[in-house]
Amino acid sequence: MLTCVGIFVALALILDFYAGRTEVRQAKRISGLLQTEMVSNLDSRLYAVEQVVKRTGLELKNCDAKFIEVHGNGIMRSILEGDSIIEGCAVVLDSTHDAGRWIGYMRHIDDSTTYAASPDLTPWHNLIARVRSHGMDRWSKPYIDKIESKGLKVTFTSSLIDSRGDTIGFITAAIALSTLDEEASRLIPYGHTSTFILADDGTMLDFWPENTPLRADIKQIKESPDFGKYPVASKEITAGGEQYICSYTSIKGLNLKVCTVTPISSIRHVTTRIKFPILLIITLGFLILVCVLRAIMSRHLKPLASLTKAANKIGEGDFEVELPDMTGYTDLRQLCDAMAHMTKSLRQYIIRTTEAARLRERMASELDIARSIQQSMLPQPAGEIAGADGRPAITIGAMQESALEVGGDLYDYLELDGSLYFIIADVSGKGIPAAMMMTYIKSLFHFAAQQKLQPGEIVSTLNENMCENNINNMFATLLAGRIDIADSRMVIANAGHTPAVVAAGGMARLLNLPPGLPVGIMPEVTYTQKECVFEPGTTLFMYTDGLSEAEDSAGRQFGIDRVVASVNAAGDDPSTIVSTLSEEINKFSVSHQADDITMLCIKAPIQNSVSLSLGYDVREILRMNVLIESFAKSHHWTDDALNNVTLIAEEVVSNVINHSVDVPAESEIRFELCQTADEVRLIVIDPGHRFNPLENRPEVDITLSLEERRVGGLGIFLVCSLADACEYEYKDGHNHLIIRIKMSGGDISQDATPKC
Amino acid sequence: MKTEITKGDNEITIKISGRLDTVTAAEFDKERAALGQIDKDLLVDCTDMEYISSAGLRSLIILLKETKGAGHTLRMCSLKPSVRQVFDMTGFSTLFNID
Repeated sequence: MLTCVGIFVALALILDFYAGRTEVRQAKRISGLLQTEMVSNLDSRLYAVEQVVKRTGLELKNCDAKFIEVHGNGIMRSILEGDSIIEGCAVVLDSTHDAGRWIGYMRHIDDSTTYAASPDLTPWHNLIARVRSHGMDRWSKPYIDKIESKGLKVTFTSSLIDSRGDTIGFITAAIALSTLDEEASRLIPYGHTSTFILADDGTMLDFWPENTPLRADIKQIKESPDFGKYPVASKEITAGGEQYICSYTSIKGLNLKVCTVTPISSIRHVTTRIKFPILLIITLGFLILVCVLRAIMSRHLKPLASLTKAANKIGEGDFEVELPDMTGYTDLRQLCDAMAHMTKSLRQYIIRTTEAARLRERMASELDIARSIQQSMLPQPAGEIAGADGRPAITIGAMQESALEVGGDLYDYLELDGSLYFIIADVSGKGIPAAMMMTYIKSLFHFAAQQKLQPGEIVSTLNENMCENNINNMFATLLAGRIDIADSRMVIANAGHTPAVVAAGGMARLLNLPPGLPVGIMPEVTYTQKECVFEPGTTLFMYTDGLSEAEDSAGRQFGIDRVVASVNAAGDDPSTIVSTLSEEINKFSVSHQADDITMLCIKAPIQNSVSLSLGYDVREILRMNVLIESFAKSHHWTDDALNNVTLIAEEVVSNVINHSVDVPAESEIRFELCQTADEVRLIVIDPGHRFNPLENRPEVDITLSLEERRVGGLGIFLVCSLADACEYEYKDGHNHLIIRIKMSGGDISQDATPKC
Repeated sequence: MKTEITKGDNEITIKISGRLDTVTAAEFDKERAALGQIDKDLLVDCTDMEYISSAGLRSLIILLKETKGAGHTLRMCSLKPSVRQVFDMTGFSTLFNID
């Protein structure tokens, strides 16, 4: 608002400035025009006077001086009457030859005419001299008539020529400058305009009193660039702190200038007087207009404001807000109707969304419960199955991660009478249908295991049951097996499942199994099971294809090779293997998990002590050797260590078998093998007669020649050579032979001197 | 244990593969008996002999004695270190001519 007023005032001031300039220019033009007209009038008056004088001169041509002297009165009267402004005239016979020196003059004084004549020219010397200096047929400079009127006058002079052609005198006609002054005084375009007659050089004529206003300042007119070039010019001058417009026009014949001086304040005084009231009126009008406009706009915008308020409330969720009445506002009413419609639609949409959210929440909650039920069906992800006779337990690691809330993957294991039954299965599809089938398979597996069925039979049972009424054509791939904990044997059957990985002694490989159809596809399929030794220290790693077929962002699969490599690198603790694989797969497939992932890892413990009962038959040594080899492998013995231990065991046991006499039938030799941190201990217990082989051994002299050597006694000699310590004891009716071999890190110590 | 007997012009090569121990020594003894009278020098190739125990040593020393008794020589070749160790410990290295 203030800015508006400021701009408005500034515009008004600029306009005022230009209006002032225009007025000044206008004033100059008016003065010029008036002066031109006045000068034109003056010129015609002066011309008339000139004509009267010249005509008289012509009429008197060829007249001699005498004639002129005689008729002087009449001549002068004729001149005076020739033009009313001629104030006085004179005839002067001023010949150098004395034909007639004479002067006559005549003038109007107060409507009467005076005449005088005299042959004495003395009083007229000034006049005669002035005329002579000016020349004929021209106007004199202004002068003061000292003789008669004392007023300022100018005179026109014309020569008198006689019949001989000689100039014998002249005639003059004088007019009062007051006459010009009167004419000039009419040139008052403005109230305070002063008029001056100036000399041709722009100065005031001498007769103006010294105290005439502007007398000194009028000289500034000469600074005008037009001065001297043009007969008409104007100039702004400053005098006494006030500005004037000074205009002049030259009167050619008289070499004078008529000048008008007008104060600019008098030119602009009307404008100045009305300027402020007009400005005030316009400003007030403007303010009133602004107020009225605001009032009108606010009246028209009021419904829009209330509509905005209502829209904001709707935005905050208040759909019950009352929309303003828009009667009379066509456009706004349409907007209001549209908003009402929108509010209604929003309200319905929110009701629908809330209902859907509630439904989703219920579904989610049910799925959550289903998930926890499914999870609770699975056995512990990290488990131990106690070994027989207090031996270390079989350790188990497992994981099941569903892609959706529930999944169709299953792992399960249970121990029944010294056997560990296990299964890993992957039901086709995902979500609830797969999860239901998974629970079915789990129940069937438990049932079949409790029947002590062989793994092949278990898979067949699952197949037959799933094929029955399988209207949804669901199927499952699986591996099911049994490990006999006491003698480390495993039986396993495959139904189209991803190959399992076996790791032992730092080497992982795929377990080669006979192929088999997934269960649920075709009834009456026979599943071939594989039987193998599940050696101590061996790890069996099983998984579903969610692991091997997991994809990275570029669509590449994790792959079975990578599974084998990862198992190999993950160590030999089942839980560690499972968690390592889980981390790797999470890193590999950073995006959404596409399929259920399940892993089951079973590890046979490394046994620090094994034992075997042997019959009295050398062939039993073969069984003993298998046990020693398996033990050596699980404890990572070197070939030399295995060779030495085998040799010692064979020599001791074959000694017992070959040299025992009178042992009852069915008697058994007990063979035990123990590994401690720094030694391996062999214990052989037999129920034969008391016999200490360490004492009763034959002497062996290895330096003897072939002929002198006995064939025999070498066995116990070898035992004593290879062992670090041998002890014999007879207790409870049994011979106990204990042999110690120093061994660390799976290798025998190099110091092999006989100790017994 | 497996025994391969190759009769050459000047010598008979007996190649023993696998384990020569308490269980297999009797079998070796049978093979030795089947050889009959030794009429040539013998070469016992131990390239593939994995293991030997005192029972095996006994069979070999009987063979050595028989061969010498028949006026021929017995050489042994290509003993694995573990087998050689047993020969060394028992002083058999000095009895046998080992390449």
